[in-house]
Amino acid sequence: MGHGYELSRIETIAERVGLLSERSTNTVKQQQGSSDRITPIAENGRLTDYPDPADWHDLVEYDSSGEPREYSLVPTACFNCEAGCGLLTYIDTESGEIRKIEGNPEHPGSRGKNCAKGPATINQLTDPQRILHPLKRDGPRGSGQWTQVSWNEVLSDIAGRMRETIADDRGNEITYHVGRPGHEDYMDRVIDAWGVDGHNSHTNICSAGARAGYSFWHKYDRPSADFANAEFILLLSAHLESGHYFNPHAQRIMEGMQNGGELAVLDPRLSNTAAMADYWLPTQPGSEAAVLLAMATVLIDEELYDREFVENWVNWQQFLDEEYPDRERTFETYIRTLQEIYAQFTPEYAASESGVDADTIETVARKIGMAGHRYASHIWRSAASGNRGGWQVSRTLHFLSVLTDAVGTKGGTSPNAWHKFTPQLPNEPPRQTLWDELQLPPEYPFAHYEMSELLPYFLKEGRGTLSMYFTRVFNPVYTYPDGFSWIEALIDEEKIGMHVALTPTWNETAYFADYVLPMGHSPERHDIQSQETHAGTWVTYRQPVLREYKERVGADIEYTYEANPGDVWEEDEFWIELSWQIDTDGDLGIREHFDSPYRESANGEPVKMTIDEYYRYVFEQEEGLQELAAEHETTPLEYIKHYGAFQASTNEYALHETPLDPDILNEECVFVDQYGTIRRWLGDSNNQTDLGRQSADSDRGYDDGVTLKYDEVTLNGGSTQRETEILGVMVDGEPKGGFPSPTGKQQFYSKTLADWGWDDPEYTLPHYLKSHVHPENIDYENGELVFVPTFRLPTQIHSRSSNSKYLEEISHNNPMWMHTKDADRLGCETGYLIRLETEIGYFVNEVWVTESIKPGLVAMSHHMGQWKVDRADGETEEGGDGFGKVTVDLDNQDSQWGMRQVAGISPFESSDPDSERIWWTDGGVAQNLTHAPHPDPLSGMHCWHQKVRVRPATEDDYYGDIYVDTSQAFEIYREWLSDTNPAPGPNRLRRPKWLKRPIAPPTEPGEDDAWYMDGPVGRNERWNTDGPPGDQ
Amino acid sequence: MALTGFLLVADLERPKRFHWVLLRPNWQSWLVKGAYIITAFGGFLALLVLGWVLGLDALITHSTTLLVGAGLATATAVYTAFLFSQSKGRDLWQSPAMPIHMFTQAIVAGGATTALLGLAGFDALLAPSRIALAGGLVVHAVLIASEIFTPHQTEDAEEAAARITRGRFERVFWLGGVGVGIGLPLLLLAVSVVMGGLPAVGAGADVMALAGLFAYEYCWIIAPQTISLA
Repeated sequence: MGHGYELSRIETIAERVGLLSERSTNTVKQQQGSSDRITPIAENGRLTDYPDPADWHDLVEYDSSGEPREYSLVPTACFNCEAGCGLLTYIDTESGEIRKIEGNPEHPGSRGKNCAKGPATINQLTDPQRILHPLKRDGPRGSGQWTQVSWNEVLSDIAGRMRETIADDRGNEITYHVGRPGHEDYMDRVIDAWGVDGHNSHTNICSAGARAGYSFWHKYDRPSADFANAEFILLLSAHLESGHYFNPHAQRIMEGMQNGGELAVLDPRLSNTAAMADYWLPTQPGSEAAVLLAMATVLIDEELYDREFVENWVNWQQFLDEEYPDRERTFETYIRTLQEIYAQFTPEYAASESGVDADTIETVARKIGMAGHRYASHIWRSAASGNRGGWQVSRTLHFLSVLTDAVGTKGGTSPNAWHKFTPQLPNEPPRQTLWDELQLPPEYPFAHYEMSELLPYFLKEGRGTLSMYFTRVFNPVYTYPDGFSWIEALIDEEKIGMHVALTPTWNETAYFADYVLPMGHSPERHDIQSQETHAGTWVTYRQPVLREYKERVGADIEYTYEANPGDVWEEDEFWIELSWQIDTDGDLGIREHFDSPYRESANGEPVKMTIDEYYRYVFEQEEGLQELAAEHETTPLEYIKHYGAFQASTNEYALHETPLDPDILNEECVFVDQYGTIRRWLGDSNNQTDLGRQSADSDRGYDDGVTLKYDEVTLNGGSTQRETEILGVMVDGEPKGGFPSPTGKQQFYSKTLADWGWDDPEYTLPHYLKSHVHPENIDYENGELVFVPTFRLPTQIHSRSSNSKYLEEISHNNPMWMHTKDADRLGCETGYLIRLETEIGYFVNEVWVTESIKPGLVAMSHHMGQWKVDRADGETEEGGDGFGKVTVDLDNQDSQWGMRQVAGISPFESSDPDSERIWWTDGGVAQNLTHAPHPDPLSGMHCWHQKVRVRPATEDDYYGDIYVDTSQAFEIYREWLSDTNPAPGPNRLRRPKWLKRPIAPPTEPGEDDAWYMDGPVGRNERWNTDGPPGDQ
Repeated sequence: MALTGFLLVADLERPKRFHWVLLRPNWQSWLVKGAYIITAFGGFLALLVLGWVLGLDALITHSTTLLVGAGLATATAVYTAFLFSQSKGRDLWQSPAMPIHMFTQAIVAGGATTALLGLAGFDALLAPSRIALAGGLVVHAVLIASEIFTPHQTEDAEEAAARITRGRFERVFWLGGVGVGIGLPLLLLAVSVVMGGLPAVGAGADVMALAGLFAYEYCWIIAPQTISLA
């Protein structure tokens, strides 16, 4: 019963005579509450405070029975999404077990507040069916037969195969494929040490579109919005309820709104965020860029843009020179040209494309203009991930920030890197020097990043094979489009020599592994993490809390699995051990990067680094942390082990305006080009005068009377073959840091795209590309609809929550949202079964009829529908997760796959009594299996939205049925592939060197072979893109 | 009453906590008020049975007792109307005529039931019951017309009424609620009066009136719930 609740007379009498319990007023705990022994609950029902960190190691709290219980509180960082919020584990000192998990108030991002997924970590730890020991397959791959093995056997087998592969110069046949990284640079360092281009990720089914759009502006590929200080917030996301990093972001959006800020949301679905917004713009999927450009035209026409910022920080001169060389190069000309280019994007045009009325679009545009540099925006990842050409959505969104001078301002939107901690690592290896064409193939020079979605088709096509394939917290069979093609690739032992699944939970991809290696949840592992949650920089420490607790009370622990349940380990120590064993004698040059930075053996030999030494080194490099630790009379490592997080800086704004030392202009090989960009020649410095130098030793007036002297050189467009390094930008005669783009400025015009063959203004400028699901392509009369399969539920973790009883109880199915008008048209009502037909198959699901979605669409949450196959005869039961995984029959003939649910969710016997109390029966429908691959020809983003046909289910259709023909998926892959504009680009480059890529090979002239088409590919054979499929 | 009580308790999500409704009452809710009304009426009837067993006929038939009984019976019959109108999302249930309609339906149901008892040996009940039944059916018809066919204030109420008269409930409403429930009983009652006697015809009217009420209530309760709230 809550605070301030008054009993009625009837209740009082009923309690007195014993008909009701007295828990409303008279429990032991409540009696204690009125005494001085414990802190009472504050007046308005809010907790007065968190336990003081000084008391964390020795805290007494009272049970609901009133009994005192002693705890040691150890912080860690949540791993259930990418936000890395702070958690505080309560370790019962009597049993030595984690009893509950709450928020860590010392964490600068989450500030003690968490979403449901954080505290639900306790379910994952105590999951009665979790994988506790390393498993090796015992039968054909995918047969469901498993045998328990030791970590030593695992390490020796894997290390042997990797050693052989690397020694045979086939290093790129080793791939580490990560779903949820949860760390900063740890694996980059390991992979660089192995010397292979072996990093693959989930980025191109997640954020490649949005990243590409931001990158073309300024290389930084993500936004960091300062919501708390914003006057107007525009979201193309559901950040109050889901998306990265929704919990810390939602807190700050609310702060901004409480301070008078307003919120507008573009979303075809009435999300919880849209429902809280001042303006909901339910846009037709794919029309977002048209709406944003219409807003831009309002800002331009009504002169609501910030002239000073645009004039100084946008590459408009380059744009005029390249595209309108006959026009006068003045800012007024630029503005007139903008009006000309965007003339078609009137609010009325945007209204006709989007279905949102023109007045609302104009109103929101004016609000953005009035908010000026206090206009914040975010996209994650919605429209940019759903539509072909979606990368133009984030690009046009950022255009509004550029026009209003809201780039890097207080209340505006900064580049993410400004608010992200970059660790310095021990024994850093040199950067790897290979290029893996199975990850960044020539067809996608602008991919952001690895074309992971296409891996099964590349393997099928014969582009190469994998000797060693690690999947780590990565479940493409369930999460990716066309999971059956992934199964086909994974069970082919000629294509994938060995598949090792590192995962804390059973998942559909692990069923097709050779080894399933149990890795820890957030309180069972080491990592550091930092995210751009606000205008500051922090780092948090994820630690195995039971190990930390045991060490605090005197235990001596060598490996984390000694303190974790069963043999559950962690990746950090695993990779150190594995790397050490790959290079037992040090010949491969790998082992030296895993030597201790602090110790050596008695005879002077290097010894293996411990995980404590690794993090000790990282934290010791951070000056602010050193000072803080000194204040607390401890070491940086001990400080962060106790507090769990550290704020490195706050309120970082306008870093592009950081003044440079004017002396830089006098350095050798440094010059300023015709756009004010400060550059340094790279490579041969003896021959720098033949490239259009117009004047030397220019004298420029300087505000305080000092005269700066520097070389001014006119670079002749694309003709120059010489490379330069960008050092900064001259603004009003002063050298400033600028942005890491090709001109140091915001790239309104992308000369890079023009040089690489995308020379139409639809690509070189922020523009509107009609989506593959534009209404022009949909035959509504014939039952076709647009399918939006991407929205998230706030209480689910992609494919890692089916073992969480709390989260599954809250949400466990994914009915199809359908507007009442469409339901009437199709004769559907809530609960009716429908069959949704995609390009490669169909699934059967039930309908939820609602007016919270735009008519003409259907939508489904991208969670739910996890499955396992019932194979009771193995030594170890595969699949687990009785709280959330349905049991299916799998049927396969050639390229045709069928799946039917044979059992839903039901109570089961286990060590957890709650498993017998399961009341829900539904586990949802695995929709992604039926999606065809849609790689955007430019960004490489998988375009999730689809044109589908929806019809009432037939008598033979059962809930959850799936049918797919993977040969059709392959055809569609080839179709989309044919729209690409493959490398080589200028100078036979694979990719513009200034763009980011993971674990990039060195770009410096002389060390940059990998960047060229004929550079090393780390395989014995090279795929010929010009030949027909299958040619090697 | 016992059967009603059992059904109401069994329908709760946590039947074992049914007593919480009474003992931790939320006086804003007509669920609670109704529970008390039913309990009071049930208690009253139990006392009557007790009095009858003890042979206190004078007390049972005393006008004050009957008046109290009539009051409690009326409250039991109509409280559901107030409970329904607390379901703010169901526009059709917001009809102000609902308590009167519930009362009328109670008269119809009561008339039909006591008329059947009249046929089963309680002869004195027969004539007044038939009059009550006929009168009740006429008022019931008028109220249906007023609740279903007059224009509604909101789109959802209009839609619910349309679903009853022209949509998926059309057959149940017209054949069951109106035809079997009102038209045929009135016709049979008329035949029974004109022809004099014919107990089987009268019994037919009683049974049909009861079945018709069920059909009408089915439409009235389900139809508004088929409209999506969002």
